[in-house]
Amino acid sequence: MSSNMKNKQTEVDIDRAIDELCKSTWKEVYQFVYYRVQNREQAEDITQETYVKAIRFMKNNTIQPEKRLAFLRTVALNILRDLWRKEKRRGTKVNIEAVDPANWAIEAETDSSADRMIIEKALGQLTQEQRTVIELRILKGYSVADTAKVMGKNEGAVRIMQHRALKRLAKLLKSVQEGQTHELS
Amino acid sequence: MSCHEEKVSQFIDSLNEERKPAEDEYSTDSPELKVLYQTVKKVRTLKEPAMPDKDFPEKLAKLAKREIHGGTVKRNRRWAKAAVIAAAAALLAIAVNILGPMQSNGIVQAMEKAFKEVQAYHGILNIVETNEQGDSVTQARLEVWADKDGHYYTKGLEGAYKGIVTVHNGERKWQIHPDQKEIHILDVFPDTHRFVFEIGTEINQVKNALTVKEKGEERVAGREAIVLEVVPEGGEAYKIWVDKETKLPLQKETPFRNAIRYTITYTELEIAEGGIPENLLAFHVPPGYKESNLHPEQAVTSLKEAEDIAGFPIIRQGDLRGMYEQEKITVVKNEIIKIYYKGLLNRGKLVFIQGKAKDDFKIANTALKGKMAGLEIELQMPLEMDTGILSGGGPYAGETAFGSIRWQEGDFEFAVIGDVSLEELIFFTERLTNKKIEIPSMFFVPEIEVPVDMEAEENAQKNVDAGSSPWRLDPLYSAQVFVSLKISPGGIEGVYPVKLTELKILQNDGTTAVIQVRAKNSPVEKVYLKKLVRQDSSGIWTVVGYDPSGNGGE
Repeated sequence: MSSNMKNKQTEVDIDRAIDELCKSTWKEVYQFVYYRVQNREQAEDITQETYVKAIRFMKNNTIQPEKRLAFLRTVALNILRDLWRKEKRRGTKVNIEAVDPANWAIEAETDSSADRMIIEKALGQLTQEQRTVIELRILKGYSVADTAKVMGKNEGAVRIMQHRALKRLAKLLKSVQEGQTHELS
Repeated sequence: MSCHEEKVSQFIDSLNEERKPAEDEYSTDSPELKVLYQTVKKVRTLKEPAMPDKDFPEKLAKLAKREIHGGTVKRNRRWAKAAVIAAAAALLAIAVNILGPMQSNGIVQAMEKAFKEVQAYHGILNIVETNEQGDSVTQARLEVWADKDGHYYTKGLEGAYKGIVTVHNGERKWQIHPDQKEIHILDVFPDTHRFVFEIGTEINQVKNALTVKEKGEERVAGREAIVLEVVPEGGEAYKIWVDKETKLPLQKETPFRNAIRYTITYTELEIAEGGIPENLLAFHVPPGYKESNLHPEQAVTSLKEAEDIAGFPIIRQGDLRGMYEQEKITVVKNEIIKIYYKGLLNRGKLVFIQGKAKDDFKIANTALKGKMAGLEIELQMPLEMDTGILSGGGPYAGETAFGSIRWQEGDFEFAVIGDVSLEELIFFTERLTNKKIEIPSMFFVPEIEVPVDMEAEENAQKNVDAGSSPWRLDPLYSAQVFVSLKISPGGIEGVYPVKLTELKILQNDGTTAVIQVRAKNSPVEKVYLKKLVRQDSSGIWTVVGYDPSGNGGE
């Protein structure tokens, strides 16, 4: 086989491998990003950037096949961190070399069901009205106007109620966090 | 309406529309908004994420391919030939990295392959301790025999373990102490005496590592070796030297911990074709030696046999079939029954322990209190104190990978220990006993705090000690009085406006309690109480806060 043909064959193999890599991992990576940004627009952008940067890194570095998802998540997290750090500036720059592989597993587990359980429990501590406003506005995605209609309140009251409910929820979640920190210390 | 209320509402609207919000927790300057934005996002995690369009994975792949192919073509004619070679080399590197087994993976596979051929091995292990100043001292030298079935024989040649022999032959484990002329019989599970740098375990760790990088070649113990830098999941990078010829690990260098690093080397290593010599694994008491068995475990063949020896029936109402497999049954000192289980989904080992209750049930200070169908239970994760039945069943405390649940019911004390997560421990115990376990709620955050006058509380405690106001010893009565005074601030005449039956204890761990008020006329939804003066059963309850109900409680 000539070197040209060899290159062509390698290119075809690489394309197939990329298709396979994207197909087998995109969902987890997207959900991992979505979990942190909570909107589709940003989740799509960051997921795309993650694959571009990851492929660039994989040109020169070895990632064990079973660790690729963990690696992709780490790259995504790095992009997010960089974005958060430089949100007020234009453009993002990610230093993949600074990715700490030791943290891969830890970061990958942050969206655990335990977190959801704590949030559900905290919601259960709110008053009935506070819970309703959170459920309608955030979980069901109702507009302020629709929520006001369902709850028989005016729109201003809904905004005040949701603000109060969130403050209370934040306080409850903080108490768990502090409790856990205390437990660990 | 405040600007914050409006901003939070806009933030929720953006996320509901799956758009990037104009301001988020990272761009806001307000600490309050930062927390509120984060809280909104946390609540949204309870929802399923909005997924992209169907063609999203194809779009991703297209972008990724553009990144690869677009970056490898050079157009300068003068350097055309060199560029073609460079492009080919780059493609080859990409192919290796994306397509399949990696370079360093090659050595990992070679190690696995080489170890597959090994049934047993014999070596001399040298353990050297090095401080941050670079001063090294040999801590121990061990002679090691080990096989793939987990059997081993180690003998201390130098250092603190000099002369001590430890043997695990699959059925028994013991340690010979020549200085004391004693043989200590040890528990087979958990195996707390496995030696460091066991080759099979090492290869597995390298195989499961996040990254393995080749860092050149060096001579170790007179042999040519490849140096690997291994980054394990959730751990720090360490180095391992692999024999170039045999492909077996020769040396390991741990990262610094508490300013100390260990270098463990097989100064000699040979394959033991015939396995570990039988005489090394055979249990016998040398003349003049005393057998000391602190936790004698007698293996029995059936539950009936265990019950006959211990003299009581085994109480397990649940069904573990399909999830756990019974491995063995033992009786300790004729009075404690232990049933060993293995998780069928690689969930680790668990041991159910039952014996007669000897003392009142007292929970370890470090433990978490829980409830199981009305029974008080002690949860330890990790197991830190050998309490109750755990003190008679073998040395467990300090085994950081182990957790335990302990309780008493009737005349018996029970425990479950295992090298599994707390969730798994609870899952197993619930199925074993057919009882639901409740861990106390983690929340004790009243919406409105009630100021406390400690001097008045101390006086109230004295009065209660003298026999007056006994209701203060009961969180339910204390909450009833508090809520009634909220309804009738002028004082209570006749019956309380809130009945006791309208109050429910949501949580009570002995020192804090939360009471729910279900009365329609109540301005209070929850009452939070604490034992502020004294935390034992004679301590009074003090209301420290409440949640208003929306009936004018604020």
